[in-house]
This record gives sequence, structure tokens and C-alpha cells, in this order.
Amino acid sequence: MTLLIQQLINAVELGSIYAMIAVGLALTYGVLRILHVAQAGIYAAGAYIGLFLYQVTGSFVLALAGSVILAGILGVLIERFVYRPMLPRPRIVALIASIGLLICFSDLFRILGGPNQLSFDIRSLNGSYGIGHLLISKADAAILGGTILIFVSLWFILQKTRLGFAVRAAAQDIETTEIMGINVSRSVSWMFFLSSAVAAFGGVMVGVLYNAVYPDMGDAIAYKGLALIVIGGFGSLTGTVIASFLLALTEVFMTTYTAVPLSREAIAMLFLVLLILIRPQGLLGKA
Amino acid sequence: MCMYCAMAGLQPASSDASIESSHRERNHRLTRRGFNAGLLAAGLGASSVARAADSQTIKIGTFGPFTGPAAGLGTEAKKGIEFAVAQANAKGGINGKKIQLVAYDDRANRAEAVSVVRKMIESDGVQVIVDGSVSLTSIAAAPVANDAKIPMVAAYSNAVGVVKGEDHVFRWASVADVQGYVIAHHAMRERKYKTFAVLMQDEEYGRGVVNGVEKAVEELKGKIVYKKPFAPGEREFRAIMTEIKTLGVDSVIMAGFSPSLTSAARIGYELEVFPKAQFYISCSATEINWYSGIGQYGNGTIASLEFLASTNHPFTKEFVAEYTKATGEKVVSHQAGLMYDSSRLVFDAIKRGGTKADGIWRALGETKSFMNLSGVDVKFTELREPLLPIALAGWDSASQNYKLVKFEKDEALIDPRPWYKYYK
Repeated sequence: MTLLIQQLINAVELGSIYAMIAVGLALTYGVLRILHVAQAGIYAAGAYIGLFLYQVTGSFVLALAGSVILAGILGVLIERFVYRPMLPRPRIVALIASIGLLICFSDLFRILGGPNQLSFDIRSLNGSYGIGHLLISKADAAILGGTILIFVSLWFILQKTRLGFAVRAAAQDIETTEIMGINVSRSVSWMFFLSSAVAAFGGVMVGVLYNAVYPDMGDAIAYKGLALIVIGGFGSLTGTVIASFLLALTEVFMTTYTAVPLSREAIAMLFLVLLILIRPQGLLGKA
Repeated sequence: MCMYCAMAGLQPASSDASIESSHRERNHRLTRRGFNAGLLAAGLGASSVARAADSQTIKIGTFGPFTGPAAGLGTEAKKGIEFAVAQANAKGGINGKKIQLVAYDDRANRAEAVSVVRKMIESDGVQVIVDGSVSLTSIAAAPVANDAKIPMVAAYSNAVGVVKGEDHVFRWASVADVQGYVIAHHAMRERKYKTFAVLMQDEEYGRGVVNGVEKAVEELKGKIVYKKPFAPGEREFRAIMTEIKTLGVDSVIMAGFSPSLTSAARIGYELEVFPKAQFYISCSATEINWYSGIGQYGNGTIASLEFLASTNHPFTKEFVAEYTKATGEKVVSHQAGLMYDSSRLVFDAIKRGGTKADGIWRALGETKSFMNLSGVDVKFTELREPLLPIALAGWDSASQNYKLVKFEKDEALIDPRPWYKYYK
């Protein structure tokens, strides 16, 4: 029983990390119908910015806040100067640009920070909390707390504010939303700011969790994030979050309770292929 | 024995062979000098000046992943060979000729490795290659060098397939299986452990190490109660460590690259799997990522290393002092150290065999033993593989360095030959 509960905790922790990346991708896809693969580059940029700020200031809180804000601005710049000029063109053009950006990010980090992983060791987040026989690492606990806070905030912004109303309206029909006098451009910029900030939070926390910030840290999360928004239902935020936790549960429990001689990555991909075969429209998508 | 051989701790197979190759080289140089004089006489001055300049240098090729996901390994390897070349050139080169390094990036990609090796042989005219790449790419590149009859020394590729069947390819590192075999013997014979969990990076290197572990555990009547593969670069081991914790094994043995080893060690300590169970890891334990990532964790972890930079041998101390001063690095990484030794091995072969591929190949083949940077004499087998003593070393968190547990020199354990039968 202890094993089951501990693995459930592990799965929730892993699912939180997936959700932080995938939710930004779902937001972008929902409104602009762009597969924003470069979101994984922003996730890595968040980690690098956070590490740099931590080295400069010595304060983790300042580093995290600074990283979230700067990555948010980076996201806005990408939307304004890369995606927006491409919107009249077929969506494949934006996708290719996005893949190119991700590769550029990775090489830029390699040039700036070197090819090896950099240490992001926050001593106060080392160690674990023990509850009976269960153990939760402090970094994991911080990720869990942060994820809850982020999703509650996102829900509030999307459901209870004018910005959220504009984003939801734009997701249904951009032209009509504009005709109704809503500043869609500004709403989209804010949406990029928010999704990039969430990704940066994920990047910083994962960097601390594994004590590793490295150039291609966005690579694996990029293709998993894409798969998650497809499974979630093409732009459905709730579907994407559910898919993130389902994927994490599958990885953890297939690893634990089956003798499948496959790595976690291979199990994840098998799961994604199976889900797409069973439900091509995604978990909460319409057929 | 020549002075250089004595310095390097090298014993040539036969002094006659050395004298013969020395004569061959002298004759070769005379012929080339005559050829250059003929060209000058024919009025082809510019060309001959270039050739004369060329004749004063020895081109050595190297390749490795200098960019891309495995760039950390390749750039470290490059530091090792660059330092060796600079050191040799500062001492006047080899037989009075300066060494010129021709280096190409293979991005850890098989096709790229084949392409760059072909290029350095066909366009650059290198006569010997020091392979600074991983097993995956070395396996792809080895037949190219072999077909062109250009000798190649694999510095840190551990897969049997790199050398097997390629008679111009040599290795300086151990065979992956040997590492697993040595680790399991230490665990069972000296620590009396019986039950094991095994984590295997799912590619040539990881599979090789685990093959060695499995054979030893079977022979010594132990039991592997848990075995999981993981993808290269994997960092998430919470589910696996949680499960291992419930099994209560005596030891966990892990084969993989340093990002995975580092992450597994940290998570294992956080979840209190270690130090209750003894953690053993493969040779990537001295990659830079381990030093930067392990932090306060990992104390007591035992690694199987192909050299140890923290020994008291005068040669090692001098090398470490010079290397750290020249490169600004705090540690001698796995790749840098093995490339340094591989380069010295090649320089020695050039010294004895001349600057042409055939002579270098013959001299490499005649090398019976060579002293590595830990000050240990390493014998060679007829399979062009070393009988490399494995340094079992324990990680000391306080000093952030490895401390020697023992040098495993038992030839029954470190012999690469028995492992060839497992690979086609």
C-alpha cells in the first residue's frame, strides 16, 4: 500500500511538470491554431535565466520571479515578431519557424552556458518531507504547490477577468471577436506572456529538482507537450491537464507494475499512440 | 629501450622491430627530400615550399560530438587531445616534427561520423586517428578507417563492436562488459552482497556493462531481483527508486551516462534507498556532469573507472597539475583523461613506426604495454584491446572527489577477450 501511495505521489509530481508545459501549448493552439513547439525553448530559457539571476542575486525567490517575468516578455516578443507576421500564411509555416526557434534556443544556450549541465543547487530545497513511510522531496513539494497556485490563477484569469473573456472569445472566432471591439492582439500578447511565464516556472523548478540546467532540456518535453495537446483535445485546457496526469500515471505504473522491458520514454509514446488510435479527437475534443 | 619509451613506461615488442621501422622512416624521409629537391629543380617552387612545410608536421585526425546533445563528451575529449598535442609540441614534437591536429564534429550522428572520417582520410590526408566519439558513432566510423588502412584508437568507446573485426582499430578504454564483471565481483566477493537491482541505459554501452554484471552474478550464485532499462539522458528515477526501496536489495548497479547516474544518485539518496543499499556505477561517473550535479549526495557510491586522477604517482600528479593549469578545469574528466592517454599511445607509435599509416599501425600492434595516467602499466592483447586495470573508487562528498578503493588488476576479470563471443 505504501508503494502504491508513494508511486501515486510520484505520478502527480511528474504530471504537474508535464501540465506546466502542455497548458501553455494548449492555450496558444486554442486561440491561434499554432503548434508553439518553441514553448519548450522558453521553458529552458526560464531555467537559464533563473540560474543566472540566482547566481547574481543569491535569492531564489528573486531569481524565480525575474525568470517568470523575463520569459513572459520573451514569449510576447516571439508572438509579436515571429508568429504574427506568419498568421496569414498556412499554419505549417509557423510550425516550421517554431521548430527552428527551438533548435536556435538550444544552440544559443550551448554557446552561452557550455555543453555540460549547470548546477542549480538550492540547498533549502534539498532533502525530503517524511509522512509516515512516505517521502516527498522538498523540490517536488514546491512544484506541487506552485502548480496548484498556477492552475487556480489561470482558471481565475480565464473565467473571471476581461482578459480571460477575450481569450475565450478569440479561441472561438477571432474575426467576430475583433468586430465586437475586443483588442485581440493585446489579449493574444497577454496569453503568450502567461503561458511563457508558466513554462519558465516549470523550467526553473525542474532545473532545481534535478540540479541540472542544460541546453537541450526542452527537447523531450517538446514532443511530449505536443502529444499531450493532441490527446487533451486540440486546445482543450482541461483535456490537456487530464492528459498530462494520465501520461504520468501510465509511465509510473507501467514502470512499477509491469515487466515491460521498455524505457519510460518508450512507454509514454506507446500510450500516446494507443490513446490517439482509440480516441482520435482527443479526450475532450469533439469528433 | 628509448628514452621516450622509458618515460611513458612503454615496452616495445622487439627492439629489432623498432630499429627496422626507424630505418624505414629514415629511408622514407630521404626519398621525400629527394622528391622535393626534384620539384625545386623543375621550377615548382611554391608547391614544393608547401610540401616542405607539410613534411615538418604530422597530421593526426580526431572526431567527436563537439555540438549537439553529446557535446559535453566530445568537447572534453577534445581538451584531452589538444592538451596532449600542445604538450608534445612544446617538447619539440615527435622526431623533430610538430603535430597538427585535424578535428571534426560528428554531432554524435552515425552518418556524420562516417562522413568526417572519410573527409579527414581522403582530403586532409591524416595517417592516424584518435577517436574521441561515443560507441554509437565509433562503430559506424571504424569500418571507414579500417578499409582505408588508417589506424584508429578509440579512446572511450566501450562497445565491443568498435574494435571487433576491424584490424586497424585499437582501443584504449575497457570493454563495457569488463566493467560490469569487475563491479559484480567486487560486490559479491568482497562485500558479500547477494541481491541486486540493475539499471541499464538502453544502448551498446549500458547493455555491455549489464551483460558483465549478469554473467558474474550468475557465476557467483547471486540474484538480480530487479532490472530496468532507461533511455540515454533519462533523469526521472523516482518510480524506479521507490520500487527498489521496497525490494530491499543489497546493492544497486547502474550503467549509463553521467546525467542519468547523477540524477539517480540524488533521487536514491532523497528516497533513502542509499546508502542502505550500496550504489555502484559505471565509468561515466567521472564525466563533468557528475561533478557539477551530484551536490551533497552520492557519498560512498563506488564507480568503476578506467583511470584515477587522484593517485599519488608522480606522473599523475604532474599531469593533473599541468592539465588543470593549462585548461582551467578543476577535474580531469573521463573523456579528457582517456583521450590524453590515447594520444600519448599514438605519439609513441609514431615515434617508433614513423609518420605513415602502415608504420603507425604496425607499431601500435607491437605495443605490449603502456603506462596510463594513473601510473599503471596496461598490457595489450592480440585483439588490439588493453588489459586495462579498473580503478574502483568511492565518491567522497566532503572532498567532492573519488578515493581509490582498489585497482582491479586480476586478468581473469579485466580480460576483454571472453566477451567477444557475445557480439557478432
